[in-house]
This record gives sequence, structure tokens and C-alpha cells, in this order.
Amino acid sequence: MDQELEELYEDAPCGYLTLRPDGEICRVNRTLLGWTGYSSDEIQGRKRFPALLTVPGALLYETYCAPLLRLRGSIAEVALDILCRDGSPLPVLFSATAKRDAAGCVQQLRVVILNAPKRREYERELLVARTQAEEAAEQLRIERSLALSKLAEQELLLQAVGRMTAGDLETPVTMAAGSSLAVLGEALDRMRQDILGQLRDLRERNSEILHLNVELRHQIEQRSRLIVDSMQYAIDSGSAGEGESRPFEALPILPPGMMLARRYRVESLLGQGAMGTVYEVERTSDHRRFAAKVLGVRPDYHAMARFAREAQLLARLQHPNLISIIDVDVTAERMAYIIMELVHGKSLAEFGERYGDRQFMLPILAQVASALTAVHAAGIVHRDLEPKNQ
Amino acid sequence: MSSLKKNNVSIKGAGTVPMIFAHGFGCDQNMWRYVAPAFESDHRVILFDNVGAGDSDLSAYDRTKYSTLQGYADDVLDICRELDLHDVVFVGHSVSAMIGLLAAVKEPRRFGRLILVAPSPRYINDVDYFGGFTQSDIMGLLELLDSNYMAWSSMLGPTIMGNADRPELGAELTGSFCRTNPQIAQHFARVIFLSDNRADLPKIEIPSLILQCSQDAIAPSAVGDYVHRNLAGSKLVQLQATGHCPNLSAPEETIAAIRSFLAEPVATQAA
Repeated sequence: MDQELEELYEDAPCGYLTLRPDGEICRVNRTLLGWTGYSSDEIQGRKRFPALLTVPGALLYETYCAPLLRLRGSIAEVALDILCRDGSPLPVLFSATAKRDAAGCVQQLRVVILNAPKRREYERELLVARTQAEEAAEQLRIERSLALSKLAEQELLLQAVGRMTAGDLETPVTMAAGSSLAVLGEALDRMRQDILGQLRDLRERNSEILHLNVELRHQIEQRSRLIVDSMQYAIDSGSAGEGESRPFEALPILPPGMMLARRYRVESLLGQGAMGTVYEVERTSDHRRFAAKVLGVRPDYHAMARFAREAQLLARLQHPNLISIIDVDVTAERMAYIIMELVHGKSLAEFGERYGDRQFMLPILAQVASALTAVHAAGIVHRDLEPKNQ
Repeated sequence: MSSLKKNNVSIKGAGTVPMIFAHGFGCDQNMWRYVAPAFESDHRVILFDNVGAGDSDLSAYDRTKYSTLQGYADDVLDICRELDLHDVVFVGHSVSAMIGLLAAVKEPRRFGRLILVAPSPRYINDVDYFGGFTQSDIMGLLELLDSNYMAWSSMLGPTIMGNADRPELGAELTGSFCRTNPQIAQHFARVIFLSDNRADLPKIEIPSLILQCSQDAIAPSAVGDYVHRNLAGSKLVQLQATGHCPNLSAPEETIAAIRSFLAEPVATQAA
């Protein structure tokens, strides 16, 4: 039995070593001697275990294995390289336990060495695979973060577009430097500045037009006054009125296509009143449509003076619910006319059946009242307020 | 974060003079378990784990900060500040001997004495300098650490180990000793074995003790002599203990050498 155990120890499929607490080799089995090429005399009692290792192996043994063996009492499967007698390295796995005496002092270290070139190779491959996997994961992380930042940039751009559509043209479109959407962002910002510039131009032009409008009203009022004055003069000087030899002439309805003062072409008849006839006309210079009121008789100076006064009053008024006057004059053929804003629609008189409908009528009455306030503020009394005039 | 938590600081002892024990590569504060208790009767004994080792806070690991030994030295100073320590007796093993030295260079007033156990200011040979290793030896060590990644990982979890030889001691949680995060250990090894702190030695003026082991493959005698020559007012003691860890293999001898040094008056040390 002892013989058998001895053989098992010496020729086991692994290396056995017994070390003194300081690492000196007391005993080594034949298997390990066979692997390393040493004779037992060269090793036993002559070498410390770290001296059997390569320099990196000895470094790891002294800094890691030896302290752990002291503290833990055992250590398992540490990869080391034994330096064989011929100088070649032998990759092994090192396991050891510390045997202590009754006082707890380490008496000896029992070491098992496994010849493990294959396993070491696999471990190296595993390590390479792990490194590759970590690199791939890192790459994935980088790509993901890139995609996320691109998404954030797109969101930023969309927000800028949203702001602009909501009417905010003042906030600049800013993209982070180096952003892949920077070019798009810059283009968007140029567009924003362009629209903003055009808008400013429009506002300026609008204010100019308002100015011109005031000027125009002033001129219309002046001209109306001149007409009234000259009519009055004609009446006063006796060249008008009943004493005049020429009879008044009722003016015929103007046919479509006829030119009024060479600037307005008659399109259609809109209505007839006591004072005159209303036509839809087109201003030939810009094809805009207007309403033209033409005095029905000529050359009735009294009627003309009243007609011109109406124009004079209209020129003084400016209100969204009041018709604006554009022009007033007397043609070479002595036809007096007023050009006004054209409003399509029906008069209030045509909605008689809805007079009791509060929801319908109240907003209309509010607008009528608002317009009347403007009329009164200009020092004018309407004197003819009725549904067919509204 | 408190340094006390970050570095898993433990404080023991009945004395007032602070004594810090700092562990080396591959282990944690447990490597002082046979030495530190001997000083608890007359010192305030402070033990800690370097970030990445033992029960330190791994989330505090900052690869940039710890890419030089100064990062670890700054942690030692943080502990000193937080505990308001002065006249510290600093005992550092291996790399921590240099870490303590760097801390003392930065704030000399905090330290009373330095005890350097198996120190080396540079491991790689240089012109007119013998460190014991070539550049390729160190690269080989780093490769070997990579090969041991699995073994290191498997040792992270604590395991209860019975004392088969001495059942009267019962089971001890020895499996938790010297747990080190393998990735951090790999980086720490690179920082340690490629470091060169030779220029810092002459900056030290406080009394110091060098404990030199016999047959130390990591810090050979020539290196101990170099440190002694360049450290003004240092005392070199040659230990009988073999290997690199006398605090584990020969605690009594280590304790005696430290005690004898502490008994010497400071004035003669500095002279």
C-alpha cells in the first residue's frame, strides 16, 4: 500500500511540491521533475519556489500568492510560468494549501502544479474575446450616444421650426457647433432673418400707406370743399337755379363698358336712389373694383353742392364699419361722382324676418352703434339711419 | 464622500500617537493583522484599504486620479485631514512605502516618522541603477495578471474556510481577505511597476526606517541600500525574514524592529 501511495505521489498526473514556510523546496515529485528537466538534487533544499518561476511569475508569486497563502491558508488555480532547466517556459496552474501547527504557525506549504498549456491558451483566447466584446460594447455605446445626440439635434431643429410657425421670428435658430444638422440650422436661420426683414419692410410700407391714406382723405375733403364753394358761387351769382335758362337734364343710366372720367369703367348697375345711381366700376389702372355714385341730374348746382358735401363728410370719417371714400370729382361732361369702397352683400332691410333674433341682431347693432359714434365724433348727424341704408 | 468610508478606515488602540498601516499590492489592510495589534496598547492604530482593494468604495475609483501613486498619497492625506492627525507614524509596505513618502513630501508637518517595509523607488533597471527588473519582465507580469483574470474574479466573493488542521479555531472568514477588483489590480500593477520615485527620496527630512528582507525578489538588498543612501537620516535594518512580506512571514521580527526604532529619540534620528 505504501509502495502504491509512493508511486501515486511520484508519478501522479500532476506536479507535487512541499515547501518550507519561507518557500524553500523540501520535496518535489518525479512528474514535475520530468516536466522541468531538473534532477531532485538541483532543486530539493537548494531553491526557493519563486526561483523556479519566470521573473514575471516570481513577481506575481511574491506579491500575490505568498501573502494570500499566509492569510487565507489556500490558493487555487493561479496561472504561472515555470522556467524549465533548458530555459523554456512551462505554463502551469498553481494551487496550494498551508499546513499549520497547533499554535497556528505555518509549517509547510503543499503545492499542486497542473500542466496547463491548453487551458492557458484558452484563457488567453477568452481574454481576447472579452476584450473584443468590451470594445464592441463600447463601440455600440458610442454609436448609440451619437444617434441620441442626432435625435436631440433634430428635436432642436423641429422646435425652432415650431417657434417660427407660431410667429416667433426674433429667436435665432442656433445649433451646437459641429452638429451634423448645422447646415440645415443655418439655412433655417437665414430663412428666419429673410422673413423677418420682409416683415419689417411690409410694416414700413404699411405705415407709409396709412400716411398716404390720411393725405388722400385730406385732398378729397379739399376738393369737395372746392366743389361746394364753386357751386355756391354759381348759385349766388345767379348762374344757377330757377332763373337759369338751361333746363335740368336727367342723366340716363350709364351702360356697362362706358368710361367715367377716363379712369373708371362701368361694370354693372348696383342701385338707384333719390340723389343718384350706384354702379360697380373697375379702376383701369389696377383692375380694382369700386362703387361709383353718380349724381342723377345735371347741372343742378344745389344738388351738386349737397353731393359734394356728402363727399366732404365721408372723407372725414374713418371706421371699419363705415364705407371709405376713394375719390370725388366732376367730369368734363359735368357729371359729379363719388368713388367708394365696394362692399358686396345685402342691406339689413333684407333680413327683416330675423329682427327678433337676438343672436343675429345684437352684434350688428353693436357695429352700427360703433360706426354712429365715429360719425357723431366727427360732428355729423346722420338723419337717415334705416335698415336699407345699413 | 468621507475618506473614512471611501478607504474603509478602521481605528483601534488606546494610545494617542497616530500610527497608520498601509498595505501593498494584491492585498488589503488584513495583511497587517499579525503586526498592528502589537501597537494598539500605546498608539492610535489606523488601518485602511487603498481604493480598489478590500472593502474600499469601488465607485470612487477614478482611472485618471489613480494613474500615479500621488493619487493614492492624496487619499492618505485626506484621511489625515479628516481625523486631524499630526506626528503620524506611517508604516507602509512595498508600494505603500512610496505612497507614504509622497504624502510626507507634500505635507511633511503631518508626519513624525516613516517606516518603509520592503520599499523600492523604481523596479526597472536604469543607467547606474539596479531595480531588479527589465521592462519586459514587467510587461510579462502584466500579461500574467491578464491570464489570471478568471482566478482573481473567482476570489472576489467571500467564502468561509474551515481550519481543518485546527478545528478549535473554528471557521474564519479568511476567504474575504485581500479581495481585489481584477481590473483595478491590473491598472494598479502597471502604475506601481512602471513608477519612478527616486527623485522624491532626497525631499524627506523626517526620521525614517527601512526594513530590508532577505532574498526579496521584489525589492532586493541593492534597492534597500539605494533608498538608505538617498533618504537623509534614515536607518536600515536587515531582517532575517525572507520574501517580500515580513509582516506576514515574520511578524515578531517586524514588530521588534519597529518598536526599537520608535524607542529611539527623534533628535538623534534627525542628526
